[in-house]
Amino acid sequence: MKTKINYAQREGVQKASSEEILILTDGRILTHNLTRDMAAVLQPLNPHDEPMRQRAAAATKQLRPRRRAGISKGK
Amino acid sequence: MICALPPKSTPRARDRRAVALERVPLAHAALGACRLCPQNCGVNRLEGERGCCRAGPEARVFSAQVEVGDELELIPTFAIAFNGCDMRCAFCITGADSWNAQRGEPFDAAALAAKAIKALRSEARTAMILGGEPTIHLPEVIRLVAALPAWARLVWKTNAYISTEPRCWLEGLFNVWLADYKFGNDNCAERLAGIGDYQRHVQETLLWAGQHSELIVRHLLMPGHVDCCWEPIARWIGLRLSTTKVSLRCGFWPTWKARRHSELRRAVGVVEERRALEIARGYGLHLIE
Repeated sequence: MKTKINYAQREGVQKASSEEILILTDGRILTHNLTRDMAAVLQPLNPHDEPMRQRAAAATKQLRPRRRAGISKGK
Repeated sequence: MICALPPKSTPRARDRRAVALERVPLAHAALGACRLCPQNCGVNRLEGERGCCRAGPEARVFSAQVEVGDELELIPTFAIAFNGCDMRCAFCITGADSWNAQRGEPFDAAALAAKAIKALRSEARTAMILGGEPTIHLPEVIRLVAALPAWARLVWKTNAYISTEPRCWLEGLFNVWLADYKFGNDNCAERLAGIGDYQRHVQETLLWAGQHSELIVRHLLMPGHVDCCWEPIARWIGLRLSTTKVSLRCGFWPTWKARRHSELRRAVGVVEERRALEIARGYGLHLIE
């Protein structure tokens, strides 16, 4: 089953939100453009799905701006 | 190709926005004989000619929203997705939006920057620019960077199939390069994405990105392509980018034109996923979620 959800335009620049989920016949759920709202919906469906739990948790964090985060080199 | 930028444009020594503004006219002029990607079309996009990506002089955007589906260290991210791409992956998850550069809505740097800043001040950890392939819209991308504050943590999500000169124009503008390594050999790249000389260009890009930025290499595991694609990719990363973070994505989604290829008509199996992880561990890769 493939479901595409488009919310109405809210701020006049771009679509406010768009995401897709795909439920496979073996019960696995794949997501695309996962938003915080969808993560919150999906996480309780399988509380043992660790990656989804982490994403749902990240979605609920309120982060402050990092005003001094300059360009960094990884090496 | 020799980088055309003067040496004084070292971003770390100057404000990122100022550097970006300096590069906008250079990138815009490049559209007059576009060689931003290895397709090397040479068309004059400023005069309405269209090359392989079919993109014109102005970019369009099909999504701009806060997402949590990317790597954990990057989320929540305010993801801005540009229409159009230089590759034609049969399994493209964004399908028509990536293949058709004329879809979406007109690009507006100021409006998108305002939305990104609002998100970064409340719920987003990073702002991510992606496509399609955003490299084909380099002037607008750089203009957007110039409109974002220096404190914003910026992620450049790319298919890594890009030319030398755009890499130079992107230097120092992004904190993190999130770069795909999709195919482990040129035959699969040609057959599934319609592009040539894939290995050489992508490996050059990854080595360059690893020296100039934080780098995360992402591979979308494809059904039936563990041995021909993932294994050689993992081996190469283990040899050449051994400390680089690697994101192995196993949620292959059989969509768009994937049905044209029999092996791509299904999701990745549990056994394939397990074997892919064994390969990664065997080469000592630094896997991240």
